[in-house]
Amino acid sequence: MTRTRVVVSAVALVVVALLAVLASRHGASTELTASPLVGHPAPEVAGTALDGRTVDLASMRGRYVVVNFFATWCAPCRQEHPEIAKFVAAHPGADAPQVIAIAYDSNDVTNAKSYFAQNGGTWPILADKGSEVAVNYGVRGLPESFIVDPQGNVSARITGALTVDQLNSLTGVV
Amino acid sequence: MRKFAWPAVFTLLVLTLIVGFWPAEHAPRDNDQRIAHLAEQVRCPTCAGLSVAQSNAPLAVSAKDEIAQQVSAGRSDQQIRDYFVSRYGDSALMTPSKHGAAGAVWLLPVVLGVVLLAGATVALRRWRAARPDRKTPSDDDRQLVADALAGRS
Repeated sequence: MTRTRVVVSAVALVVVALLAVLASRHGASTELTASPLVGHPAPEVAGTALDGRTVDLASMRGRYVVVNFFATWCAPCRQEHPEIAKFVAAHPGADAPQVIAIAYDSNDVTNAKSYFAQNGGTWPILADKGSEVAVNYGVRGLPESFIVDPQGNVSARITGALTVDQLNSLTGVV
Repeated sequence: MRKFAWPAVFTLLVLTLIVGFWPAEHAPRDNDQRIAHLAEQVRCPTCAGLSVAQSNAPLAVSAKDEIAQQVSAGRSDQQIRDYFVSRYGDSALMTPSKHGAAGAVWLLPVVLGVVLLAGATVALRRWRAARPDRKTPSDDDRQLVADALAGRS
């Protein structure tokens, strides 16, 4: 075999391997991502929801809580909304996992309220004035969600649109 | 003069390292200066390569507010930096942490510099030892010059 053939074969092999790796990769839209908060107590989430309910993450010990940062102008947030709605509808019990939505953009709060009214959604929405809660959770983009375990520790961080299967799995209800 | 060259180089190296690693926050500063300085050190979570001081992205503005709140609450610069690292990881800071695994980033150039300096010193000494002494001519040299002079006359 000539030297040229060896080089061409090696390049072809690398290209094929690269294509195989890219083809077998899962979409990067939703993934469990590292966070220094995982394994540590969840930062405080408390306040009055847009519908007047009082929300306090600390009072929800004993069950899983999904803290979901969203905005109505974010396309993946709209994509995950029906999935969260399905998840909430499937787990109505008092000890069932809870969802708290954090309206990340304070200019989007009115839109968030009407979006929930139009598209369904019974879980509380807290307005994050000045994105204070988002910084406290180390949020980098939207949507971003944190699973808080029954002991009050962050057990997972998910970037991208949530799915009902993912929520079931991460909250231990399946 | 020559015997002072290496100690002088070594002293200069040590002084450079001390100046480079000396924390800039030793001088007394007011709260506004501390906030501005910390905002330059914390990385904007949503921008590429910018500090929160350089960005007006919503999360950068929130981070600046958080810095201001924590400075007002009496927290030290290190505590505030640690807070951002505890939320965003080591990448929260524009310069890598000097502690833990990230500290290797700071240590590696120093180790590399010392190794290179030691290598250069050893190589220089070997080269000097192997080099023939050109100041005093050998007997062969003397004979060569004598023959040449005799042939000329």
